[in-house]
Amino acid sequence: MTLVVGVDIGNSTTEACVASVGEGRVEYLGTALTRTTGVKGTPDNTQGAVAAVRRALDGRTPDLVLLNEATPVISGLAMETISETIITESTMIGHNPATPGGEGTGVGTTVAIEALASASGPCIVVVPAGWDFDDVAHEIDSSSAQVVAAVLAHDDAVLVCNRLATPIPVVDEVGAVEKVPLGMLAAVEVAPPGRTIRTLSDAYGLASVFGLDPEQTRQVSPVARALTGNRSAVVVRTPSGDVTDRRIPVGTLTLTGAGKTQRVDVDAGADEIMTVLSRVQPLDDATGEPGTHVGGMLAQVRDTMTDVTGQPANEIRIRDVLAVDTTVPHEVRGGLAGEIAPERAVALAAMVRTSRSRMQVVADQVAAALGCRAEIGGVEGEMAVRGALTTPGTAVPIAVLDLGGGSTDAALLTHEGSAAVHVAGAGELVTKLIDSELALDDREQAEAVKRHPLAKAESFFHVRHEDGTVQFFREPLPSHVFARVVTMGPEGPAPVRTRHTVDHVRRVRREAKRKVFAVNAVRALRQVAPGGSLRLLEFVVLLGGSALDFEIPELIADALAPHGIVCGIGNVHGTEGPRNAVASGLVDAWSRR
Amino acid sequence: MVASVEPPAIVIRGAGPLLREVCAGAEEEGVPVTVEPGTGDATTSAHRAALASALEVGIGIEGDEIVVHHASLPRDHPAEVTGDGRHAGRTAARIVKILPLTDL
Repeated sequence: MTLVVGVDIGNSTTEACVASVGEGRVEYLGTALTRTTGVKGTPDNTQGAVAAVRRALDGRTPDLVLLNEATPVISGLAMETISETIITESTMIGHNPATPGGEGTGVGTTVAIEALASASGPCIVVVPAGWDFDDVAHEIDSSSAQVVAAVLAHDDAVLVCNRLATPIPVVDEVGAVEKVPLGMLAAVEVAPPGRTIRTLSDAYGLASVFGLDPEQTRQVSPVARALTGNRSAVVVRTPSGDVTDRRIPVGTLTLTGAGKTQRVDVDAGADEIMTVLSRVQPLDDATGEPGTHVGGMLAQVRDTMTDVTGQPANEIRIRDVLAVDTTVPHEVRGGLAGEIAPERAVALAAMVRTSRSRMQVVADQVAAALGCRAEIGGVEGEMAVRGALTTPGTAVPIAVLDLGGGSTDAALLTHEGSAAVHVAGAGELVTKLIDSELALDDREQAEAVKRHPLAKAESFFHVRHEDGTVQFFREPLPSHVFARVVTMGPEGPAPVRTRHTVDHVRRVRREAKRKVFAVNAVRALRQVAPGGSLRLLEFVVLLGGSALDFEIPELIADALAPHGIVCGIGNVHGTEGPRNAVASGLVDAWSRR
Repeated sequence: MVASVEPPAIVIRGAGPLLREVCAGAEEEGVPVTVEPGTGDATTSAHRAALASALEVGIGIEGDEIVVHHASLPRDHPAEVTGDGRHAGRTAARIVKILPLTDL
């Protein structure tokens, strides 16, 4: 009997599988999983591999360790904003304080509250921090000027409004109130509860309020658009005020493949990039214009690969690109209350592979550390298929989809032979999309949103899950989760820092997964399927960490259903689930030698 | 004819210089309050006030300590303990409205 350990070094995790092999029989004894140390395919992997092997061995002494021949696949991610709203000369405050006061529209000249006594005509009073609500109400009521609206620094709008003889629209929580230009014509609008503003979010409404000519109306129409959907707004007409919806030159992506070279503007969007990419398959290389965002991003991927393989940067080829449309939160430049506007962006995942793997170095180091033989046991894709075939209910021809952290890999085994492909974009990209689209700016939290279903804490004792079911708790929930959207992880409800509803967060999460994994599943399988036809595939087995996700497998199954494919989650040896396929495949392949 | 009835309200028990700010916090959120004399320490006042409130939310004020409570919570597990009157009033009102209590 020989004690054999198969080790699969992946982008994020390293898995080991121990088996006793003898007389053509394989008895699987145990498995283990650790985080991959260093970039996959580099000598840094040794530490993680040794740790996984030791854990799987549980004190036994191995005779042989088998490593996978990993194609070093490095994926780079970049997100580039392609539009930006800039307000010059501070012309508007379009923020949504939770509790504005009064309702209606007031049009007048902006006046500081200290100067109210000497003001005349219709005016809009501007109140800095430090003023008490009783005093503000008194100043407005006793003024000889006709005060038609107010803009406050504090969260006092309702309080002031309640104390006035005649209520006026009041917008509060304007952080940079000192930047509101004084002596200018302005308009304040507050909509009734549950409504959004009508006048200041309409181009002709603005024209009517400020008496604009057609040319000026054309210029302010971006203001109206930017204010749409708010419950309250302030617009100050300054002589040279302007809001522009600027497009940032992101650069051109040059894609070479199939004997052709095609160029595409990144700001044309993800669909256009992917269409152009499909014309040059298989891709030989992708380059970005030097000095532009996209050029910088692709250069960075090349540099990382140079560090890993020691290959010069000019020899490294980008073999796949996935572009995804997304949004990135940006503080509006020139805004007065820290307004955030979602700007359009394109996320790019790029993938590099080289023929030069340094896995032999890892094998030598593992052998030295464990005092046993270690060798490269087989190519990753083929081993994954072998492992997947131990799933009950599968047969050749079989295709596997390995849903990893950095890349989505497909491999096909038929009676005639096998094929394998790696495409860019996987779990890491999903996390990044969730992070930016929800403006979380917190990778851990984005990861939690990706991994766990959502709920909303509706009282101190119950949550409503995203599917509508209600769960009661015997212990009170902490105050910081009250009324919040929460993720339901193993440690209980954890708040998500967002003002969005459960439905919105859920939609963003599912769309991010669909845009990466459903799209990549079809893309990768097309590349390995005979004649590129998915109809010729029969069994597709999902493997890898993301196959454990609570909804990614169903999103992929939905995408593959029209092609008549049996698609399901791998269950290696009928017990291991979608994990450990490559490690098991290594042992299996060795036992048949 | 519909007889005018007292609206349900957050019950505040206690007094002192912070009372005005506590009331202002709830008023800004648009939720009515009634003020009654305190009954013991801030936590006890708050819990009893919550049990007495038709909205099941109470506030206790004792010196510079303010406690916000909900009738469903155990007495020694208040929703918030703070020295900021405006924030306490706001928190109480937001419990009634089922809105997040803390800022993002």
